[in-house]
Amino acid sequence: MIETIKHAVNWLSEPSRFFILTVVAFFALLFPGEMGPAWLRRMTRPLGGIYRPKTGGIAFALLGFFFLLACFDVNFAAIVLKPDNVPIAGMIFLVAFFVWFALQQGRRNDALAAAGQPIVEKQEAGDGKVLVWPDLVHTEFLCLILWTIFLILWSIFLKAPIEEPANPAKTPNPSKAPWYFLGLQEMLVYYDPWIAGVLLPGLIIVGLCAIPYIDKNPKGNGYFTWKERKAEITLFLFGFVVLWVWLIIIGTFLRGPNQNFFGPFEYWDSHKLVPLINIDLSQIIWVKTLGMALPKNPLIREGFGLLLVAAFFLVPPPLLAKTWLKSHYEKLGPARFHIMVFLGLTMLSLPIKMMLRWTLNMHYVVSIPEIFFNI
Amino acid sequence: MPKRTDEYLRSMKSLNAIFAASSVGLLLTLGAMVYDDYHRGWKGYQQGFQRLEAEKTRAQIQTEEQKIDQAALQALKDQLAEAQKAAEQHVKDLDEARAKLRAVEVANYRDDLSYRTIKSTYDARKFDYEEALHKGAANAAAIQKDVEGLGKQLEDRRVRLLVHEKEKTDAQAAINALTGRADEAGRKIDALTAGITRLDKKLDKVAPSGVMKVAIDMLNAPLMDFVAPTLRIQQVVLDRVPIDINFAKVPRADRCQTCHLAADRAGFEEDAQPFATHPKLNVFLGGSSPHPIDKFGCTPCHRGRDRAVDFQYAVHTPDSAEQRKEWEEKHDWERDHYWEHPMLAQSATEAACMKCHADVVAVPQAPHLNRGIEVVDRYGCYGCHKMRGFENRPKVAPTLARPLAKLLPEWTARWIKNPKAFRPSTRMPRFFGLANNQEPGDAEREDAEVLGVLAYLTSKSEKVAYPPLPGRGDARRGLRLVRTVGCMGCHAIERDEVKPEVLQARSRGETPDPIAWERRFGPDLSRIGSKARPEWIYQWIRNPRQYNPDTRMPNLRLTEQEALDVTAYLVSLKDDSAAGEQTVPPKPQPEARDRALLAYLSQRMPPPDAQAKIDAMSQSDRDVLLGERTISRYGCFGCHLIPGFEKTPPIGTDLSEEGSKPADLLLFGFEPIEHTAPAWFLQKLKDPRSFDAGHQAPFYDRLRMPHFGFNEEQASAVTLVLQGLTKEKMPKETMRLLSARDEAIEAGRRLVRDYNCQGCHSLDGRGGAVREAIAQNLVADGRSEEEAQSIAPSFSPPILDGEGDKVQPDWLFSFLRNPTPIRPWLEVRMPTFGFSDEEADRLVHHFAAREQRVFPFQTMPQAPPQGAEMQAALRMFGPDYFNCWNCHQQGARKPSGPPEGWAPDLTLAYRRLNADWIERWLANPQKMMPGTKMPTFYDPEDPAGSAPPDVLGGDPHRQMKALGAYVFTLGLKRSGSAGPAQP
Repeated sequence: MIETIKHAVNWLSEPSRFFILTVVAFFALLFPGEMGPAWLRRMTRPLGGIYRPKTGGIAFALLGFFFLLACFDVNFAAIVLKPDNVPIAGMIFLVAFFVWFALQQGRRNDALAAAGQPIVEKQEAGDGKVLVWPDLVHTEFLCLILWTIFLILWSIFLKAPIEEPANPAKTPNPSKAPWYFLGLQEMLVYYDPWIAGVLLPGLIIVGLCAIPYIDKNPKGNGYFTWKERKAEITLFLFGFVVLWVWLIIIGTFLRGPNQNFFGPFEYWDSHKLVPLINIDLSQIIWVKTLGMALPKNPLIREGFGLLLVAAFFLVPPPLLAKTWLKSHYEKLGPARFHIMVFLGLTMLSLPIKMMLRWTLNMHYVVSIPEIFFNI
Repeated sequence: MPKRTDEYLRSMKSLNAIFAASSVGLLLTLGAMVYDDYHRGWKGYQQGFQRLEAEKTRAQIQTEEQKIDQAALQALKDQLAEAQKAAEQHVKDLDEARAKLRAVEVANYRDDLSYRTIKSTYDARKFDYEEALHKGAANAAAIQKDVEGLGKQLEDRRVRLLVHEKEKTDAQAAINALTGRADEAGRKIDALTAGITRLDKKLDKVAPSGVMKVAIDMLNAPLMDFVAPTLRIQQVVLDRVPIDINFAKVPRADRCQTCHLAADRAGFEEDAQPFATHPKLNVFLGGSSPHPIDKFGCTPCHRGRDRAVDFQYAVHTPDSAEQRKEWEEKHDWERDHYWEHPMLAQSATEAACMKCHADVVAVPQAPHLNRGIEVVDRYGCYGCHKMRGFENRPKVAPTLARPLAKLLPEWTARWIKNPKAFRPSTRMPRFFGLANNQEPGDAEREDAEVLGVLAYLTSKSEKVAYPPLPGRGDARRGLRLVRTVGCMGCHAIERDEVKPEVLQARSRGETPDPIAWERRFGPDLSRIGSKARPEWIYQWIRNPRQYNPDTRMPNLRLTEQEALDVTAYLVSLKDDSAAGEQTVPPKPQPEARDRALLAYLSQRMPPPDAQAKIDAMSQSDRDVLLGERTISRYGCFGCHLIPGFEKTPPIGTDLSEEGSKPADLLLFGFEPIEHTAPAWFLQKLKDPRSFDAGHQAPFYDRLRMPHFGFNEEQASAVTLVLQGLTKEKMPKETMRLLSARDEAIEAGRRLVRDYNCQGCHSLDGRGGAVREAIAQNLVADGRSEEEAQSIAPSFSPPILDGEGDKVQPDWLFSFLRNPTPIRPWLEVRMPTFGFSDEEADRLVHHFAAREQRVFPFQTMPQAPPQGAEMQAALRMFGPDYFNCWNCHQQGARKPSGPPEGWAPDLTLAYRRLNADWIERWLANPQKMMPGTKMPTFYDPEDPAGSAPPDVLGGDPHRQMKALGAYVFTLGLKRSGSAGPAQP
């Protein structure tokens, strides 16, 4: 019985399925009862109950309980209880909690506003003044003491690991980046190193820097809200939780020896062999489908890919400006709007590429190794 | 600040409560932190050791106390009491005397101070005066008066001081007169109890109590322990043998003694680890041993993590499954994957000797390692695997350049298919019919391969044919010859010597080999008649080098008839195993052969071309090709010289650094063994192809190492050798450097090993295996078992320990090149080995170097005894005294006593023996050659008392000299004694 559950979990946590599950759960939890056809709305409406504190608390407790149960499995415990990985396991809970908290507070405020009552922050603010002493400093000081206790106990019980002296003849397997780069390392699986290591991280940083200049929505300053900033919150949480944090989780817990995928209850067998031959789009089209040899001229060879990439970046913005995101276009103006859509499309390109890899075994959409240009 | 409770965001009361609670929590956490930082396992061990030492010291004190003669002590104590009482009666005088002494001392001190003050003033004034005089100043005279005055005062003080000295001496004498006796008694008591006093002091140091204890606890307390803790890490830093951590070499810092405190201290042999003394302190760790601890530390031999001070972190390795379980329970032990040089298990420690003790035949004090080296040498592992230290060793197996001349055809195929079925003690391993070739079709293919090999060898064999036997031999005489002439020193005929049940138990691995290791040097001859052609046997035993110039089989100088007899006997030793026990001879399998050839050839060309090529070949060509491929694949040329493969490199893995190989580079397959390199080596040696179990592979990709049939003891010995072959490069100054003398000894020892001298001779404490066969022969002649065992040495080749001291080197050289009888009654004869000049020289040098003799030239005294000495010698030789000719051969004349006592021909002595040796031999034969039959004429502890009193004045040294000088005249033509001079 337990074995069946473990097998099921292993099966579900395979990246392609896990990703789809995550995206579906993401939208279902963010928009319970609001998206899709009627039957879907009926199905997802009860999920909104998670924003009630008691229900949320129970869900959280259940999550923790199953985590604890899972630690009885030797393989699970080996990964999760490794001193390096304990903070990441903690991060899962922390991210889940704080995202839930923000959304829950936002919904509470929305409900209060809809009922015409002052929102929570306004209620708590009183006459708008909060004393530095004791309300700020005293509290800070207490946090300091408590946090010091926590850190000291952590350092006593979770020993920093020391492994063997570095041996140039023996690479550790798996060879993983530190946790904050595991997202990028996972992206490296799907993208060319230049794109995944330089371009996309650069755009992430640039995009994050650009947010204050693009985001023209004045709502939500200093108080939680959901209704007033749905698009912004969704966009950000998708990029942060679904892409960044989720990739870190995959990289920490589900990638094993030889960068193979292993389910959480699966033994990390370094001899495991998984067939993995990926081919470029140009090869799929020219060789597999048309049965011809690859054209010598790179532009012709990658013509389909180049067209596809161009279309992906050039077609949606004007389309969206005229249809679904019309209001945003009007609010932001063309410059901001196009930058926002461009960044959004770049963000979307990652899951799209991942799906292309998992379904079609597609390696590169555009592959011009002559100038080291691969997408 | 005014308290405005209603305006605070949070209740101060609850905040203060949290503050209080968290402050207490922080304090406790800090306490936990200090504990975690300062609590160390090794401190507990050091405290335990202190307790152990205290216990031992107390026990020693008790023994000492018991040893003291209580009566004497009591007498002294009574004396002391008496003297003290007497002193008390003069207490007034004593007080006076003491007061006087005190007064003198006070006065002395005062006068001394005054003296010094005046002196400094005097010196200064003198200086002034001399300066003034020099300058011619006016006040010179005044200063001089000053100086004189001071000088007088100075003299006065000086005299006073001398007087005080005298007064002090007198006063002290007065006191001593009163207390002298008591002091003396006190000193005597101290002398008696000195041992206990010393031990008490030691106990104080080791188990302090009271204030001392508190002080020491303070010194060891957290934060204070940087000053002078008594609990501290003990380490030995070794720069010369650094630890290689891949990117750097760091000095080794062995901290093992932090817990193993008594490792280099005697007295703790019986205690449990970690407090036990290291075994053999005179060899390891002792100050005067060859491996003192301050130069060698611990980890160069034991490996492990040098800088660790924790049981787990030091990478201790359990020696057995029980010990592992014990450690898991007691110490939470886990295998540490993060240190690439785990500690050697205790039984494997000898492996570490190899890296410094290179270039020797046997490593002293390392019996298991030496056994492993012997096995590697004998079985020829280096033939397929390159191994450091075994380069340039000869191939261990017979040459296959001309097998047609030697082998009976129906034998060869069966032998190749399964050697042990024919000869269970053979060294040749088994290649075919093993567990990883049991798929359908494999048996047929292997048959085809065996026949292919046979075809290849036949086609390449030199066409040598021997003439038919020149006569008829008597098998019974041959049997006797084989048993007595010396064959049994290197060979055995186990079918006749060992009971079948014992042989079967041996092949099941239940008992060790009942035949001595030296008698396995040459093959077992139990069924030789079914293997070799009679003509070949005849030619071989008359002159082995004619067939194989590199053979180590010597020439026993058999006459033609003797050779025919031996041949007749050997030919009669046929394979009598029941048909069911024999290996089924391989049958021709043309289809399997063609399929195998197709598989081979298809690796390089498309299958249709390969098939065409095969079809174009004749049947015998196909057999030869398959044979060539099979030999190529299995690497037969690693052990045998095979035509066509003379230059082919061996097929095995290079093992020169195998001991450093991390376990994850070894293929464990599905074998359920521990994931460590030694466990893998052991399994590989016991069943090399077991790692293929569960794997799918075509036949040419399967594991190839053949099955040697090692038992547990042999496999673990060879595992030691493998563990010893590491990539550690020791600096020259740390290795054992052989002196020129040592090199001579080792070079000769190598020859002794390579020619199996110990098959016949006892040397270095082992060997002389031929004695077993000679004893059996005596039993066959009619003696009882015990008698045969006890007199067998008289009929066996001599013990060679001490040979270098005994014989002249040039005689030994010519003897080795061309042996002649020294003990003519022996049936066993020293064979002609055909040593080259260089080899014989090496052997002679070896013997001389062992006994630290001058080599090669020595002075031989040539003065024959004159007059009285001569008469005395002749008398002592006679039957009334030592009766030498009763046992010793005298040229052609046999000794008069029974054959068990017969001794070497003394007419050879002048050419053979060292003159000084004869005297030492006469003085104490048992010391020179334990177990010898030579009587001990002189009691070594009292030679003068045991010498015949009426010869040469009863002086044993003159007698021995005379005898020695006389023996040296025997055999010379001019002495007129019997017997011509022996060449």
